Amino acid sequence: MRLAYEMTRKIQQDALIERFKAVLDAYGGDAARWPANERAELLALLERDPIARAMHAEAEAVDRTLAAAAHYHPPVGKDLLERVTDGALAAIAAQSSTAEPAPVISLDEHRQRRSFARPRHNNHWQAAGLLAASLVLGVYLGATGVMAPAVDSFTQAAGLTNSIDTETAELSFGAESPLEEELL
Amino acid sequence: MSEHDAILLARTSAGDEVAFRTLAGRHGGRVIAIARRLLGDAHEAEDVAQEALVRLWQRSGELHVPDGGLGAWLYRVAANLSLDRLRRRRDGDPSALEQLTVPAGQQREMAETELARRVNHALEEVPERQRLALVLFHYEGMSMKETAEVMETTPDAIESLLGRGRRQLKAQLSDEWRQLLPEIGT
Repeated sequence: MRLAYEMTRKIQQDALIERFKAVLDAYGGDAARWPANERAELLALLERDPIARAMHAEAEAVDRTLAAAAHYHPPVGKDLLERVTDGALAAIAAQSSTAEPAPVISLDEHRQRRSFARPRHNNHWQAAGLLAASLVLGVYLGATGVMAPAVDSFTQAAGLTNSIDTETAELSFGAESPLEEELL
Repeated sequence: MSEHDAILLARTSAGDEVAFRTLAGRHGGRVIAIARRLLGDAHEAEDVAQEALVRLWQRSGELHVPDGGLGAWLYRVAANLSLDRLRRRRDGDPSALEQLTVPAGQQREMAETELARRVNHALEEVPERQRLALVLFHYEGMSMKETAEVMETTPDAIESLLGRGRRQLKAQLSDEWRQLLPEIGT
C-alpha cells in the first residue's frame, strides 16, 4: 500500500517537474507571467525542489540574455509617430485623387496635398434608395397630373401632340388602378 | 477617461482626421515596435506602420471594435505586413536577409551591444510564427490572451509556439546565457 502511494507520488512529482519545465520554456523565469491557476503549485515546487531551482536559474539566465535585445531598437518617439501618421494621411490623399489602391508614400515626401477623402463605404443602398424615391415621385406626379400643364406647353412648343401620351397615362393610372390606391 | 476606440473609429469613418490621429497615437508606437522587431529594419518598419494606418482608415467603416480596443487588429495587420515583406525578401535575394539583419547605419544609430546584436540575429533565425509570439509576449509584454488575440489562435497554441521559440533561442545562445548563470547566484 505504501509502495503504491510512493509510486503515485513519484509519478505526480515527475509530471509536475515536466510541467514546470514547459512553463519555463514558454513563459520564462518570471513567476508573475506564469499561468495564474498553476502559479502557487509551481512556486511551491520551486521552493522545495533543487532540480526545479536549477531549471529556474537557467530560465532566468535566458531571460536576461533575451532582454539584452530589448533595447536593440530605440523607443518610438512622438516625432516618429507623427511622421508615420502624416505619411499615412498623405497616402490616403494620393489614393483619393487617383482612385488607385493607396501606395505607401516615402515618409520623406509625406507633405503633399491634404484634401482627404472620406473612408470608403458601401454606397449601394444609398443609390438604390435614390432610384426608388425617383420612381415613386415620377409615378405620383404622373398620376396626379400636376405636371400635365408643363408637359402640354412643352409638347406644344415642340410642335408635338400628346394624345398618345395622355391615353397611355390613362390606361396606366386610371382611377381604378390598384397601383394608385397603393401609392395614395 | 479617454475616448474608446470604437468612438474614435466611428469618427474616423466620417473623415475625422483628429480622431484618426488619436488612434494612431494610441496604437502606432506598438505597431512600429512590432514591425521593427520582426523586420530588423527601422525604415521598413515605418513603411509597414504607415501601410497599417492606411488600412485602418480605409476599413474604419466596417471594423468591429472589441472591448479590448482596436490594438489587436492593428498589431495583426502590422505583423502580417511584416511577415509578407520577410517572405518577399527571402523569395528575392537570399543574401538580402543576411544584409538586412544588422544594417550598418542601424548599428551606428542604435549603439547596440554585441550581445544585443547576437540575440537579435538569433531571434531572426526563429520561424516566423514563433518569432511573432516571442515578440508580442516577451518584448511587447502582452499577456497570453492578448498574444493569442493578435495571432488569431488559442493561448495553448501560443504556449507551444513560445516554448519552441525559446528552446531554439536557448540552444542557439547557450554560450551567452551560460555566462550569466554565475551572476544570478547559481
